[in-house]
Amino acid sequence: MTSRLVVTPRAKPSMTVRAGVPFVALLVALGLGAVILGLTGAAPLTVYRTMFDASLNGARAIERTLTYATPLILTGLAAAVAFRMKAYNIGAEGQLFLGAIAASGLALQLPAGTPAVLMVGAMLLGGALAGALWAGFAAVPRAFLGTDEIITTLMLNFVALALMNYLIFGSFSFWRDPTRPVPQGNTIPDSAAMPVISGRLHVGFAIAVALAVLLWWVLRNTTFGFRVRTIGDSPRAARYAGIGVPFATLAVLAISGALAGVAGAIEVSGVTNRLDPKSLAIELGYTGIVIAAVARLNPLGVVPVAIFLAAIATAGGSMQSIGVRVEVVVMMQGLIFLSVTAGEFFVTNRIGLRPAGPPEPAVTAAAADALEGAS
Amino acid sequence: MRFTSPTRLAAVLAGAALLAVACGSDDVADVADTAAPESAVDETASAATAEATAASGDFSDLKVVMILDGSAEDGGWNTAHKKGGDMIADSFPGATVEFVEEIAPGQTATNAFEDAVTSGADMVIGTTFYQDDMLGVAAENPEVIFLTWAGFTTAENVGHFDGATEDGRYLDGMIAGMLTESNIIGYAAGFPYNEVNRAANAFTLGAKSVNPDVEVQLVYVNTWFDPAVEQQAAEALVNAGADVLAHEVGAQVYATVAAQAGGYVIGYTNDWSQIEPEAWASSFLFNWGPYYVSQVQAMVDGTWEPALTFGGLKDGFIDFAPYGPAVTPEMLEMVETKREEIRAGTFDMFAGPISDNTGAVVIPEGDTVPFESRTECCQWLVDGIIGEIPG
Repeated sequence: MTSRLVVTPRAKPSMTVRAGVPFVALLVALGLGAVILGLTGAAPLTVYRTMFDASLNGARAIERTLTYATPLILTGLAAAVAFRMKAYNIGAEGQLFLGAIAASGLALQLPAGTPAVLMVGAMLLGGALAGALWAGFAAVPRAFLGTDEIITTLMLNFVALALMNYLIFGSFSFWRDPTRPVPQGNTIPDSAAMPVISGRLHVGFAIAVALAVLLWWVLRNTTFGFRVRTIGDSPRAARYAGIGVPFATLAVLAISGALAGVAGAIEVSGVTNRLDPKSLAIELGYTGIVIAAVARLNPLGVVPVAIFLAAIATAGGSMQSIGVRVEVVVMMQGLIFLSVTAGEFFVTNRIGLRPAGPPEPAVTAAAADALEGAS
Repeated sequence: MRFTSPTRLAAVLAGAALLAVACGSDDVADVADTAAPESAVDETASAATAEATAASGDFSDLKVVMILDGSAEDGGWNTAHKKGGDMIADSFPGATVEFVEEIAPGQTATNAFEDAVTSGADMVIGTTFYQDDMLGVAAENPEVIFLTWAGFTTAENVGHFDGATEDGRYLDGMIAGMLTESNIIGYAAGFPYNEVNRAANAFTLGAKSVNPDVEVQLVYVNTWFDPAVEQQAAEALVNAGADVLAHEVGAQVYATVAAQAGGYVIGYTNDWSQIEPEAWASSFLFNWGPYYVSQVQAMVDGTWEPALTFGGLKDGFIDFAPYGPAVTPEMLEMVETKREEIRAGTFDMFAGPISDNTGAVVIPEGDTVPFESRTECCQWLVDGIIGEIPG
């Protein structure tokens, strides 16, 4: 008698499954990774120790990971909120650049003696506005003319990158420090630097987490959130229910752009301290889409996924210093990320063996009980 | 392409990982093998490695980590630095030299410098503009020596270096000026700033020195590396009549486009003599090895001092790839003579009078751009360049 694999959804995964599956998935990834590392001549345990030390072990390592995660949380939220309404904003990358341009511009323009709270506040607000405006270029045609926002938001990324490059490399703009032999942005005043929580970790991380909680609450508990979810589930039903779809679309894309813009402002204020195209154009916006997808568009889920990805990224760099080739590093990173995210399947589904034979009656135990009771 | 972003890691390389998971261990071995390709251009370039004299003694305690902003196998900028790093390994038997690739400036770079120190490096070398990302790490780790390209703020344990591209560019320009029949040379550059403009000016001065009728069509492509955009630029230059293509960007497309058009190509610290042998003309190469070895030697001897080092032909910073078949012995002789004059300091390419391409005199008679102030030049394009600095 043969048997076959069956996949049945778990109604409610237990805590053991919730916590256990990612852990086992990580072990599987590390086991496979050890084979790859071994074949390339590296000592797997040394490599894993180095990765752990670089990303999670100790205050400095955790600061590094959380600092790296900060813009990823925000671009993840930017994607999550828009995608929840099926407005596919692929433009967080460009909106982040605009946020950085606006924030660094404000920091250089406002008097250096401005109190830090006002200065940083203005930068965050300016970044949010610039991101929202940039998203608006795609949002208005989408809301009122039905233009495909995937194309427009994507294209605007290239425009934003060209603009940022122009300000630093292509001209002697107000953003550029003319005294430097290699094109670099002007350094923002000290009062524009994000206050520090510990070491290199700045308050921007706390802001990102707070925005995640706020967004989660808004989507869950407000009329606006209800509208967004309804439009996402069925635009036609939403229209029938009298929801103003165009304005909700505008609002959601503006919020999405603003979140990405804040990410740019926080990077300038907390990390680069100048408009620095080369360190900003590392695909933080596109990575946010991956994060949002893995987090199933749940704003609270975005935070751990972004931190996890940041930890992998931070760990990756350290491997090269001990002789692991970059290609192997990226393979290892992909292996870990894939395993842990694929493990999610086993959290929500149960896989079992069933002997081949007549199909089971299509009634559940509960239904059978109910039938019995009725008879 | 940068792999610094975690997107690729999730999107592209998850695929590679899946492959490794799905296939047997033989396939895993394949993946691992392809992950560490040998340099394609290793043997062809300079005799730099041969110049390295192996220091005596055991250097197994010595570790140098080199941080690169792209792939060490890019056949250009980073490959030149990798050769320099290999020369350190050859010169100090037993020493460990690691290459950390694909590191974007910013936080990623700061982490990479920190990781290098944690891994036990005695010296960390950054091969692009990482200065602002590493000064903090250097301050926290006074026992480690740091070098970066084109930095300008030294510290007790921080020095910087840069190479005089123009010394090589002038000679490449001579070759281009002698090879062109249409008297139009195409030149694609990345972004308009001092070093790039200065190199284009030197190239044009070299070309005009042998062929006064020559024009250099200059385009800024506004990217560091983007094969699609560079392909368009190269084709546009050919369509504008250029029969020699030169560049200061990154992609190999200039070689293929020039070959298809039956013209010639001049590299930017590239050696494409094996890739498009017919079209290949010449390229200077950065030769960082002797400088790196001297720095490590000073560190070993305990005589290392922080410095800003700007080196040209006379300092051994500039080398040359093999010349292509179209370069005749007569041409070589002219270039060789000029090379010796630049090396000896008897020829100054920036000696006035020099006019820019709007007709204004930028360097008057009797004046020049002294070698030590060259990095402050140029925000102008020399007479003979068709193009302008945007903005």
